[in-house]
Amino acid sequence: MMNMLRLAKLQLKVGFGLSALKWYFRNSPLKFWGGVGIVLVVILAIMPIFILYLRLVQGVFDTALMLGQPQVVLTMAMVLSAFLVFIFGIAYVMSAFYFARDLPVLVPLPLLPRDILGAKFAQVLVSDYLTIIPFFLPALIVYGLRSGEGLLYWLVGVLIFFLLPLIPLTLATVLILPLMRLTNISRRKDTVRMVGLVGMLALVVGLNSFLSQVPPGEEAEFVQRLLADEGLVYYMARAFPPAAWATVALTAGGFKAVLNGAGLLALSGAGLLAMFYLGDRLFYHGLIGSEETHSRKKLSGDVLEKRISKTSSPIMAIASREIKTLIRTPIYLFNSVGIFVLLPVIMLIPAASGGGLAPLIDMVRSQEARVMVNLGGAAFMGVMALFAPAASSSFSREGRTFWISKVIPVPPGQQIRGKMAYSFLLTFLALPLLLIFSFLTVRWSLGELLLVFLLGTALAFPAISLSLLVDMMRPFLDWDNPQRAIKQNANVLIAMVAGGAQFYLIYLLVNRVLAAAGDLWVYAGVFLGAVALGLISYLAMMRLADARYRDIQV
Amino acid sequence: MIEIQGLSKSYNKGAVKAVDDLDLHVKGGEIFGFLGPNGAGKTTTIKMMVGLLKPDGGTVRINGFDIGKEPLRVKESISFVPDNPEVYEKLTGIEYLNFLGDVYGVPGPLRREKISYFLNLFELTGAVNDLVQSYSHGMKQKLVLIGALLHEPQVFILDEPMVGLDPKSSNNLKKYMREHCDSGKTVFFSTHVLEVAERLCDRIGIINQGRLIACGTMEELKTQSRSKESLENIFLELTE
Repeated sequence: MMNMLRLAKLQLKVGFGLSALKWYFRNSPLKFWGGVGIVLVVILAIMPIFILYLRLVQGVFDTALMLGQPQVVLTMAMVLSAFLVFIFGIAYVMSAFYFARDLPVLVPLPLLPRDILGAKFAQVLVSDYLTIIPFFLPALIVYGLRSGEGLLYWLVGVLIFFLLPLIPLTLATVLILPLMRLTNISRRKDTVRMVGLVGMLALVVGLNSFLSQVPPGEEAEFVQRLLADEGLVYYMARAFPPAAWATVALTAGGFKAVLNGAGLLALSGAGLLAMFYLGDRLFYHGLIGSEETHSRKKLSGDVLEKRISKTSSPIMAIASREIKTLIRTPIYLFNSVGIFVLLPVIMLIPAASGGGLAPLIDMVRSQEARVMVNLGGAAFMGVMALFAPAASSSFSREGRTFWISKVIPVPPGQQIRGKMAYSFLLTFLALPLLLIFSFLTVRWSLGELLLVFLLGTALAFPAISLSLLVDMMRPFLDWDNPQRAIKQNANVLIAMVAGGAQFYLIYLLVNRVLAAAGDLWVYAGVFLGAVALGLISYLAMMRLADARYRDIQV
Repeated sequence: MIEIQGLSKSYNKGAVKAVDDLDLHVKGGEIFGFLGPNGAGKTTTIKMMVGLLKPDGGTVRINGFDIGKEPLRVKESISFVPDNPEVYEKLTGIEYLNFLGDVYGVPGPLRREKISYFLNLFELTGAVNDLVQSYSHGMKQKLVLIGALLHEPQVFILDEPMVGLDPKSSNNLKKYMREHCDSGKTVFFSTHVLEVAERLCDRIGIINQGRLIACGTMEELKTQSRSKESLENIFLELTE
């Protein structure tokens, strides 16, 4: 146990750069306060989104209050937090447990598997606390203040905050441990793991949506149940039942609260026990040999000569390098591609299972909504370019290999064009999704599809160039596990927020200025607005590239 | 070939002078060995020569081009092998070599000839289709070496190149360095293996605490020190 605690302390120091921060504070205050400034800028940048969420929380509280169940606001926030912890936790746990670079140092030490597992788990858990703060605390505060709760509420609230991510995170760990053990025997580990990961998530989401279905013919009883005492809470908590227990523990008072609180505590404890039990049996089996890769077939002289003779331009060589690295690194692939295959599924399954899609399909097929639907399709491509961290972590992902980019005789501008080419190619992965969407719902004509593609590509331009610009200005190269290049990289968040602001500007231009002028003006406005914004970031990047490539130290 | 003048670099706001007003000239056709204790400033100097670090002051000119003013012209004519071969783990060996062939603009036929030759020389042909992540340290070192030699650099700069290489590969590398210089090109490398420096180098420079404390042929170094025997004794005497 002591070893686990010591190791956890070390992991937190390394993982959150605490030792480095202390060093910078003493020896390079400018860098330290610069870092603090960036954190403040990020907080300020996400403030508008946070305020929107706060209003939503207050709105939910008001509506739920009218139904006599204001506590549903807590359940909602807890379900949302737990969902985020679980979905992202799967990738984070896999990365921290199996792909961290310090594992070859830790495994030969006289430590139990549970010591390493526990320490790594602590690291992921602390970052999850930071993740759920903006989602859970507003609900806790809004409910507490508006309902005039006493000291006990706040104390239990703090306890529940600390318990909240435990269950989804131990669940993610308990799913990952056997997955990695089973897939470690495969020759193509990375591929099998990626398929296993996506399959597992799809299964969990599908099962959840199946369980959430309202039984046909029982709609009236269903609504009645919802309006009954705590009905909304239990409906909301079907995705994550412990949220209902936590809500009752916080709000009911008396024996009921103690019972539910004890249930939550017991389940969290059981989750940890299950994790350590499986960890002792499966962790090393999944880990040991995870760095082994099977030896591929030896190339014959002819094939080797053929491969060597294939030449391409430096731009395409860089784009190809980026694509190969992304495809072959499960964590990058999951973050940049996998999540965007899953997101539409997550969004569509509940709507489809509740029969909610039919009126939506009727609406989007009507001619009046056509402009909106076409712009929606284009916006999907733009948002995919913005949300996939492919561009906003492009420099950071090079990590310690960035020395190669610095010494090769390829002008930085050309290297950046290679990164842009790769980011656009990735964005085009939205096309199959759009085609499926078109076939199932909107039935775009070929002309409309081309229009959507053209506008989508234009919208991807400012998203990609701004994301690359942000990452070029402050790349995070000193990481020890590939997940950190994305997860602990503030650039991903900064680029999303700044890119979102760009899209908002285009929306304002179209909605306030061009909407009345007709469809053609709207399309032209979106296209030209996006290209103009994209060019600003692109030209700024080209202007700064030489100096940045010279100054970035590896 | 290499002209370094007044080169300086310090860390911690000038508190630690890693390289202090360094002057150095290396001619064409010369193998130059760069020696010094740990932390003397060897790697910092090399990183500034290849454009990985920005100097605080001074200039580095290679083949007549200033690395600060015309970095691309310098990079086209040099090759660099770092002390720690960090390469793209998720590419196969052949993909990495092809990538470097593309960015250095090595035409297909020459690339085929060079890659085949060096893969055989360093006995890496069998592993070239595997992902780099499966390579040992020495194999990665060989891969970086091969990549660095594809475009026949005028100046070949290496930081601790022998570390991790097996004796045969190490010997092959030394032979290649000699051939490379015999054709009028230049090799600049740092090492801690004094026997290698003594036997291989035309001239040797010794750096300590960021300053060049001795430079010349073995004979010249012997005249500069009291101990006239081995390079090891000279090194120990000068760096004490």
